[in-house]
Amino acid sequence: MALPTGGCYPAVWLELQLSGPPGPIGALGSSRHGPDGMNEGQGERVIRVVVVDDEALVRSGFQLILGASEDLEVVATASGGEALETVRRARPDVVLLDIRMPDVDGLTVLRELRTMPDPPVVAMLTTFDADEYILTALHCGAAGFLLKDTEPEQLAHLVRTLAAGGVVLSPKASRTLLHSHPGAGTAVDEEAARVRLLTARERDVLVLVAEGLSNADIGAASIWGQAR
Amino acid sequence: MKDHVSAILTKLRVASRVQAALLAQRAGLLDERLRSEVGG
Repeated sequence: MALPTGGCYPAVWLELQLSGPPGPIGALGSSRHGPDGMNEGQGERVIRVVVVDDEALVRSGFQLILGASEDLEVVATASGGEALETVRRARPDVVLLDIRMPDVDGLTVLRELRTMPDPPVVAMLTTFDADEYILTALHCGAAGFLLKDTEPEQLAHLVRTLAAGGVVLSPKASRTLLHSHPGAGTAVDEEAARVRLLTARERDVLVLVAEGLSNADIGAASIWGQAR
Repeated sequence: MKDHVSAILTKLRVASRVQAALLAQRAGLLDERLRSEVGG
């Protein structure tokens, strides 16, 4: 399949509602802030947002766009170097964090934010929908990947999804994630290390388990295997 | 055999056979088997 290039990706955003508003798929986890899950998103509670970007224009742009929604408020903005301190002070629900900044890189800020007690939801901001750090950021606890040129109306909606505990990925980020090779991530490396702890026989049994065989079947199969 | 499987689950730090199966798949064990069957 040939993918179109140059900003004309099919506009498929991936949104996963992991928790939050009551509904058929709201059962997993619990909403971070919804006191009892009633009428969320109806303006009862303002979602506090901090925008971290080194460009003043981007910061004020987001402030304007998000501030236009009654239920959203950009409570502070910061450059990369000021991010941690600003977030500590402003206690936002959601942090929109530029992934590439000249003074401090976004991944470093992300890691620091994630070590806070009760950390805010962090979504990375990117100018181009093709960032090599997508997987690293997600692994470090980012809840999403947003494009800086996202349509204003959609942006507000995506921030609400993030605040409700969901995951939001730009089209390219979704694709990168879905096509990612499991060998690359550290989590998978750990798993591979555990597999290496198994004896050869245990590994054979594991394969049979993976193929859906029952214990009795595996017993029969492994005896048969040894007899050969 | 049940103990055997339990020992494997413990070593892999997973709670169920399904998780073990998924892990085996991610670790490429199933591909290896496929290759050895095709090659052998």
